[in-house]
Amino acid sequence: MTLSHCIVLALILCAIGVYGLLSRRNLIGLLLSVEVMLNGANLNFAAFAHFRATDPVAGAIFPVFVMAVSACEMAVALAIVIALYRGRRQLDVRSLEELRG
Amino acid sequence: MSDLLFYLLATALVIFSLLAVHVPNLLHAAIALIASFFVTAAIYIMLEMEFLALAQIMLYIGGIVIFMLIIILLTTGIGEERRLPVTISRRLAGAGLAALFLGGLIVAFGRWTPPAPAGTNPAVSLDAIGLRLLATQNGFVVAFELISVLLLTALVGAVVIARKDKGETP
Amino acid sequence: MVEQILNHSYLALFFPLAGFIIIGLGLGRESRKLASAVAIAMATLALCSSLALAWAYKLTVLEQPGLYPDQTLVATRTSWLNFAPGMSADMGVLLDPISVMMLLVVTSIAFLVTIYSIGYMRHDPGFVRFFALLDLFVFAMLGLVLATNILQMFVFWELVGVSSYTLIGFWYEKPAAVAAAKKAFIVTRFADAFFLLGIIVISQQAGGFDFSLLNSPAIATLLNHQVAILGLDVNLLSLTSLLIFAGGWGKSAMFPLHVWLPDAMEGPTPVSSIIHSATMVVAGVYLTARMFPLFAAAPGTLTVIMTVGALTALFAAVIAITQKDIKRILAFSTLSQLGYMMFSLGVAKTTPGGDILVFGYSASMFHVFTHAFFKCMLFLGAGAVIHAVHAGDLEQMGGLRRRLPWTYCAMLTACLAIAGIFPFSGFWSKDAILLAALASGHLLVFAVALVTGGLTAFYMFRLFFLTFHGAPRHGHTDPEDPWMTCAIVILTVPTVFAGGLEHLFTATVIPALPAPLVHSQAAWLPWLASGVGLTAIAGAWALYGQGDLRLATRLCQRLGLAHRIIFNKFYLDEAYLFVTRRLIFAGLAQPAAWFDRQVVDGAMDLCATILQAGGQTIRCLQNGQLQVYLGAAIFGVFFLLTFVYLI
Repeated sequence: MTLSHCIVLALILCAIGVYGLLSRRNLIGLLLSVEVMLNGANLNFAAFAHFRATDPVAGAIFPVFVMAVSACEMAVALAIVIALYRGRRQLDVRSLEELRG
Repeated sequence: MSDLLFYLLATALVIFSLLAVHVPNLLHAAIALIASFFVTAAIYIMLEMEFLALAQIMLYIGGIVIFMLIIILLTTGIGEERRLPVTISRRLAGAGLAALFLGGLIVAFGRWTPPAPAGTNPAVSLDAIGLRLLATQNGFVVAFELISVLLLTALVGAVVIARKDKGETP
Repeated sequence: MVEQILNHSYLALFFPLAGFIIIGLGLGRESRKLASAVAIAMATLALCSSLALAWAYKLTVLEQPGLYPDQTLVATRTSWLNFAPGMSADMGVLLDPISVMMLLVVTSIAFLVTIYSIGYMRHDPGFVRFFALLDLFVFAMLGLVLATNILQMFVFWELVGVSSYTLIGFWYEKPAAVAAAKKAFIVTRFADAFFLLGIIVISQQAGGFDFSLLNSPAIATLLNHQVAILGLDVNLLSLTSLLIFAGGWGKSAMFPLHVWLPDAMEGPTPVSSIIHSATMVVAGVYLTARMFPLFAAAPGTLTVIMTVGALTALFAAVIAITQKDIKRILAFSTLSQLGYMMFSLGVAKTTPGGDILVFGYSASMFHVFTHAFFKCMLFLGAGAVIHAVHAGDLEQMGGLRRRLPWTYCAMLTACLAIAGIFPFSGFWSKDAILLAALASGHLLVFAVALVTGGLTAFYMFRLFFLTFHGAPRHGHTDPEDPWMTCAIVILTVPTVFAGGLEHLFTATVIPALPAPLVHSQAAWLPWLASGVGLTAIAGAWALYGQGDLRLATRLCQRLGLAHRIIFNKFYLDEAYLFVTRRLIFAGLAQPAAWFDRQVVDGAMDLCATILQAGGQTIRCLQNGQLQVYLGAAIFGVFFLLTFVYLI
């Protein structure tokens, strides 16, 4: 187990998240994929803190912040999803195109 | 031993993550996500980050993913994805772009040379994290407070957005 | 006390402006009592402050001739626009004999007309608006009269034009009134464009706007050289002075720009009385008098002024004989009298030192003074007649002597005054003008003036007899209104006695006169003028006095074509319409409009179309699909990585 292994693993998680973002049609599925990507990023923080950083404590704290921000995102996303669902009874991102030009 | 365990965990993580983004049923996907988070926690322990592993389980699994499960149950229900079938061409396009993304990043990473010789830091103690998080000198107290304000704002914003407008029929 | 009055000289301007603001902005359409109270209060205050100002001026300047050799006193002056160091446009109050005279005339006539209008406009729905606009006019006119520099004069010059426009078109639901207002505005604007050009040229050359600067001999010398303009070799001084005079040409309705004044009679009669006879139309004469030293120094300018004035005097008098509308006759009479004032200035001369020497200048100002009163009164009397019979056509009047006794007496005085019968005011001022024409040696002008005097007496008494004598040719007659009668009766006093002030004009306006010209130098002249006038009145009596119009009708038929041409005002309006409609509109404006719509707008439209098409093409990229955006972003990351690491 080296730094490179961990980084490649994180990159793979990120790519899986991209795949999910691009292929899912449900808005909640998209949020789920974002969590996968964030998980990869957190893993990267931890790996660098463990193997290389001169200040490992900061590397351990940053994922906590990521989690907090992610919790905020979930709270707002929940509200948006509920508001959308109340209006249109479905959450297909392809039909959410009010902002088109 | 350690390498073997890491490979096992890594394989499990990739599989669970793929399941989380791939399976049509969102409820199943969320459960797969929980599993992948457990595996991540295990990897954190391998990286001597006990605090992170704990936070991962308590915050992520106990908070966020449960939150997400509630949304799923509130809105789509079980088997919702069948109403929104994903075509194979869409999956291929997604997979292709993701592969391009991954390839590009790996190539970029391959070109990168680490600035200092590899080694291993000592384990980070819980004390150190707690002190550092609330330290005013070289610490993260401002970020910590900002995050708390952000959480509060997000809560209020969520209430405002989700509230029914006056006169709107339920 | 005197100091105080002079320091607060701007108050004369302030009161009418305050009246305009209070009535125009503060009062509703139905608060008639309050509006008339405010209007009378402001007119009284303006009159009192102008009287005080005149008194202070007399004590300060006229009784201390050594201190003010040119009799000019700048009482107030504030810098308004600073164009450049040493070149600023000021606003101020300038007092000299003619401005004080005009100040008194304007405020006293405004006072009387305000009183009169309360009766005349009593049943008009626009009662409150009328008084607001009247106060605006008085403010503008006072600003013009008291201007210290030519730019201030121009600003107020345009302001009187605007208030004249709004008051001519006061009854804006009448198409004729709207057309007349437009005509007046456009014709005077046409002349004002030249005026502005003249101001620009002279202020650029002189480096300032003040009248004292522009009238100095140094400026005349500076400008007096030949320049080539459009291949023509012209004298810059003559050109500039003629350009400035053009403003007065339009405002005082000199031939051939006189066409707006008869039409302006579409406005309410008090307006015709104050604006289009007594004050605003003499602004052109006033401007000429104000810039007289410059005009006199320019070769040829005075000759032009003289010719135009004499021509207008005769021309308008001839037309007036044939007209049938009471106000139109008075309008042509105004034109004719303005012509008198103008040529009287034209025959004046200056000494080499720059002082105004000869009698014409003071005679002209004297005539401005007397004419203001008797012509104002004629209009007010005509208004009273129209008010009584509800028509302006002479053929529907007659026999009003018994019905309107006060108006009858007042009109008789005014007609005698304008006809130049001893001892009414018109006799003195006309006599002075005739004397000036005679003394200048322009015998043709003198003859024209004499003939015009006779024509004036004839057409005024034609109007008078047709209105008041003979058998009634109308039905119901309203009684006289006390407000109106009051104003008319008060005006009788200056109409009769203003002639007695002649010595003031000769003494103060022309201080440099070495040996005052007195009537004894041509003792036969008053007799001759009076004889002509009395003969004309007798002729009018013979034709119209008995109410028997058969003789007059036969005369008209005998004259035939000539009568028709004169009755139609020499077809000048038709000629103007031909030029504007057929030549300018069809030949110039329509092609220009086509070019603007098709070519200029077309180019703009083309740009817009191209941009719009481009937008239509690009907007499909912005399709609102989240995943398309994300895919594009991912592709962008890949592209950047490739660019950075592989190439």
